[in-house]
Amino acid sequence: MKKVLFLISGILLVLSFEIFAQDLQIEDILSNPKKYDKQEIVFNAEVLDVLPRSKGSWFNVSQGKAAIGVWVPSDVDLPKISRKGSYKQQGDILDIKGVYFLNHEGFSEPIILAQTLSLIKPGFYKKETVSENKKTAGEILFVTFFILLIYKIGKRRHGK
Amino acid sequence: MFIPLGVAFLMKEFNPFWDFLISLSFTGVVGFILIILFPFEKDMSSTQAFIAVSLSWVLASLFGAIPLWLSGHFLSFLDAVFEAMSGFATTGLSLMQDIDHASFSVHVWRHLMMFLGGQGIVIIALSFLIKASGTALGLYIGEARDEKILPNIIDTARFIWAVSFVYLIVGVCALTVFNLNAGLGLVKSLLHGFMLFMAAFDTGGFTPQSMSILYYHSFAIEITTVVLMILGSLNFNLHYCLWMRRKKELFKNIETRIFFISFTILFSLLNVFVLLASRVGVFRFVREGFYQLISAHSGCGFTNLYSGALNSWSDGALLMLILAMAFGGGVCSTTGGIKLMRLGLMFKGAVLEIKEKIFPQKAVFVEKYHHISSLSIDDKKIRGVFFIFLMYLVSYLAGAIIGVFCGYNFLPALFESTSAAANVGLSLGITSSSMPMLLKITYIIQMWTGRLEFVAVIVSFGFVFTLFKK
Repeated sequence: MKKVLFLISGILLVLSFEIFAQDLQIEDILSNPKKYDKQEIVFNAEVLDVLPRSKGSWFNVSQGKAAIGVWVPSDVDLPKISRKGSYKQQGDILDIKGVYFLNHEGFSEPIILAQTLSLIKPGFYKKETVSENKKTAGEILFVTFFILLIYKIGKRRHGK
Repeated sequence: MFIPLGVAFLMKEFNPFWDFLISLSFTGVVGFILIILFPFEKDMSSTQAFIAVSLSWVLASLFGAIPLWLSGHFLSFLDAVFEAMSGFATTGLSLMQDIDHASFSVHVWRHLMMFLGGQGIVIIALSFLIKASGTALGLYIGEARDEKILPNIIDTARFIWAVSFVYLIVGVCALTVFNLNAGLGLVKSLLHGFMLFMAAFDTGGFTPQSMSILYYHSFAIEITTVVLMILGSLNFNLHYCLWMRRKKELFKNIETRIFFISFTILFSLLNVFVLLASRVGVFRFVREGFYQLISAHSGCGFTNLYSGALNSWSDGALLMLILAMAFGGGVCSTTGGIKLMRLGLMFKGAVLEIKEKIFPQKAVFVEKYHHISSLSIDDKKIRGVFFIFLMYLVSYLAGAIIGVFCGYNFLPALFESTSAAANVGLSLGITSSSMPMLLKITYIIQMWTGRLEFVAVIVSFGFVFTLFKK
């Protein structure tokens, strides 16, 4: 019985660690940098940009409220990035596992040194729709503006 | 708004296109109605000019906020007005939500507001719209421009634009190349180059993403923005001297000397304070400390730190940044704050006062300083300088006290208040959409009054007060 309880509590401990790790917020890392220094972290974030360099790539990733740069060395396998977050598209969501360094040799900023990156949700193109009310308001206002502009130009010419 | 409208059209950003069309048309319609209802052909008195200037900044922020609010990136219209005032006043504090998913046209508008505000909204009107007159001079002075560069005020306004456009071309080209080198695509590099230039040269501090300068992970971009921030904080009179190849002026001028002395002292103390409390290497700190201090002193607000990182700096280091923000850059530049010229004159005035106290009463002293030509200090100048100094001091402290009243600690509240009133934009995290409405309104007023250096606003309030008194 004791062995079963020990096993269950062990599994729960591992699971709770995994949940904590998956739910890790970039904001939390940035506001408690010393707590996470040299710690292994796992989190999910949207790709904003990939900036290639000679010895690896910078992945700028975001969770909406905060964004951070992840350094991915050349020897780490990269998932195929199809969408980067912008106005028109939702970027790919990655599962990032790495170590956070407040101060790392060769870097002049705090970094997350990636160990593995995996694509957990592909990004998509956001279809943009404009409401009819917005179009109508825009048309009415623009026509009014145009009429007043013509009126003003006409009045100025007449005045001269 | 024609520029962001064009960007929205070219980038096929449909919602922003309609947002800008609505905002542009609505602003135009209101403008024409006011012109028709209140025709005004006469020259303005100086009081009227001051009121026109102070109101034009409020109206510009209200109308400038419309497309921001329509974009859906702001929780309330007040937040959008905050952003627009922050843009026009070249502050750089932001309440924008989900900044990384905003359209290019909205970003272009945010940065364009900074460019227009940095040059001066009235300067635009003076350059393109009206002929030289007494009104023009009143409007020019009302917008916190203490000095004329050329004898004619219209020529001065046009010179300021000419200088800015030359720097714009050079700066955008350099930043675009470095952005390409950093790994951004061609279109993004060009647009980011434009926006970074506008934010750096006009010492604004907005960026088209949430990571500020750290987004690019590029030392070259940091250096380029440092150069642009310094150029933006220089008096336009000094730019004129450089253009006329009078390079010696740069070394003799009281403002550049005060900037060098102030920066050296603050940077040395900042190093001591941070290195004592920090585990980071010397090079890393020098890079971060140098960038933050230049950003604070020039009033830009760019940062190469992650959000919240400033909170880990010691109180002493934050105090150095507060002083740098409070001092600001040159008069007749795009920066805010007390300004270097006033600091120099206050120092010289204090020296004069001490001399007069120590030496016999019959002794006559003349304290001189160099600004374009050799000038001497008189009581009138010192009075004017102390008045503006006192107003900034009151503004910094009043904002801090309101911050404390809203539940924040004094030092962060003072930091944020100074950042708003001196139009800097560095933040310890107080500025957010969740901060109390009272603080949002306080910072809006601080940004507005700080940008106009109080005089135009005080004259306007005085005028309103006399109306009520009658």
